[in-house]
Amino acid sequence: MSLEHVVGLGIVLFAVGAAGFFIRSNALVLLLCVELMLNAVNLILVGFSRYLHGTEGQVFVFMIMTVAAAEAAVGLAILVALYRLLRTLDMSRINLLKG
Amino acid sequence: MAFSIPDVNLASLLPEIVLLAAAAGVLLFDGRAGRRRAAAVAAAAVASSLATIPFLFRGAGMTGFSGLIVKDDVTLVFLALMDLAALGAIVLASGGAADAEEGGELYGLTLFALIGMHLMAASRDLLVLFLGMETLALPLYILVGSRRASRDGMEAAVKYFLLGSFASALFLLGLALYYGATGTAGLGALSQTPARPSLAFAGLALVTAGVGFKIAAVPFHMWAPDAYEGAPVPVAAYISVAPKVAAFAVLLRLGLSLPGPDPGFWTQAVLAMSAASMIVGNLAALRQSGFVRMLAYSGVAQAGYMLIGLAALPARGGEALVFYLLVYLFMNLGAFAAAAALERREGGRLQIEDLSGLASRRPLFAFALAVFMVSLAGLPPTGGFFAKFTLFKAGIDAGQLPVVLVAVVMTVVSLFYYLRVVAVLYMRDGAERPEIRPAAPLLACFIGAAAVLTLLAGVLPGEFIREILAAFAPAAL
Repeated sequence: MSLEHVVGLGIVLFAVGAAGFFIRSNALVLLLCVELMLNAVNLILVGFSRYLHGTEGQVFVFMIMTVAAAEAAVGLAILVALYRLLRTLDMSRINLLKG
Repeated sequence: MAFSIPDVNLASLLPEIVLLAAAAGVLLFDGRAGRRRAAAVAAAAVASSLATIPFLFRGAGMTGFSGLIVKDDVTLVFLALMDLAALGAIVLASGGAADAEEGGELYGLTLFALIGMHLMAASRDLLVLFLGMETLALPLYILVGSRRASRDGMEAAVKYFLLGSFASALFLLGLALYYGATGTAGLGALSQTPARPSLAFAGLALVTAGVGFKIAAVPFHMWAPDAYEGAPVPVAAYISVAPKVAAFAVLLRLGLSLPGPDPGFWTQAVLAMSAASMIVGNLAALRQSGFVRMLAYSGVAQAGYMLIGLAALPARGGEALVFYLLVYLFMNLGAFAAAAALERREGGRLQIEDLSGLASRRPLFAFALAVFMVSLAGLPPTGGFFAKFTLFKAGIDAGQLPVVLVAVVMTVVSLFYYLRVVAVLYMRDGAERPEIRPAAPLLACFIGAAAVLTLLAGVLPGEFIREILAAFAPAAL
């Protein structure tokens, strides 16, 4: 398995996440898409780290995983509060603010 | 196997450690009395961080964590600006109305975000930069959504959160590509030609996009109007100034790290973002009837002006940018403070029409608001004029005439919506408008101080610029 395979898979996963972010409208799915993008980045970092024979990239992954967990915690809290208030997570129907 | 303990030098992060202790401590306070105590503790912590800066200024600078954290004079100037913005936000929050169940969280989260911004400005490494950015972003998501019973507030929070985490993901992809190209996440690698230049440049572009989200530059501005409008006004004031300072510190660091003065792709990208922000921000602001939403689009446009400073690197762009940020801090916080003072207790958002005839009923208050608007528009004798002047001059000196022309034209466009506010204040009869509560004393003092400083920056710009120039003198190389 070469560098191109690992990084290529990472880029494809990132693109899937990014595309999903723009196509889907459920806020929970959007959060999943962002998590997919973050994990795609982790994969790319690990691939580069192995290719460069360094450990830095692998350490980055741990930091990113921690941040992703914190982000998910904050995000889910916001989504729960939003759902309690509006009874929907459909972003295409959440548009009180305009201009 | 030999193992050496890296040079940590915790003293380089002493202000941040004090802020962290205060932020954690403030979370313990509860209730109305606790809220007041929390505000005092938070303000004291920020003031102590601010007080360390004059001692370090023009010193040898501080380096910690094997060079991951560097506090040189330029960084210190940015740290001072952020601390001032945080102090302003704390004053605004303590003067405004708060939910009964709210304790000290508001102030704790403000301080956590401030720590993140300090890390952003002081870091020389993309990973530390990312951690700082997230330490800034996560508390802000919560702050925007702090009014849980408000539909607008929650909608703003979820939009801000989703777009913000998308921008973080872009930044991270940039970090990964940069690491792959250079074998390190340190910004020092930018000054040499990397082994795989195209990969490094792609990484740099994505990193810039991720940071561009924080300054609300077009095309990463979609969150700004909604987040400003839905958030409590003190939070909106904080978001409109402090993260911009931090993100511009980062962009300035990126720009100064790039090799040579050749106008490469990075400068081209900055120019495109600048022109797009000025055009979109100003034209959209023309159509707004809500005061805070108008300020949000004005903030997008202002970020566009400031980006000109980055396109004028490594010449005088940096100084001009910092001076602009300083004046922007006074006038924008002042304008938001006025909005906070006028915010109606129940129902509806502050509309520009609500300001009708304010000059006859509250002359001093109306005068202060007019000063902020005139300064944002960039007319003399206010600080906004000199800030724009130095910025445009730096742009022309660096040979970026086209973007300066766009800026001048857009400044003229912006006169319409800024001066409309002044016209409504002074030339409209507002007898049928609801009575306005007098502002809390602290808030009134804050508005007055911001107005005086905005005027002073216009009357004595030299005094303000001198210290900034001193900070940049060694960095100019």
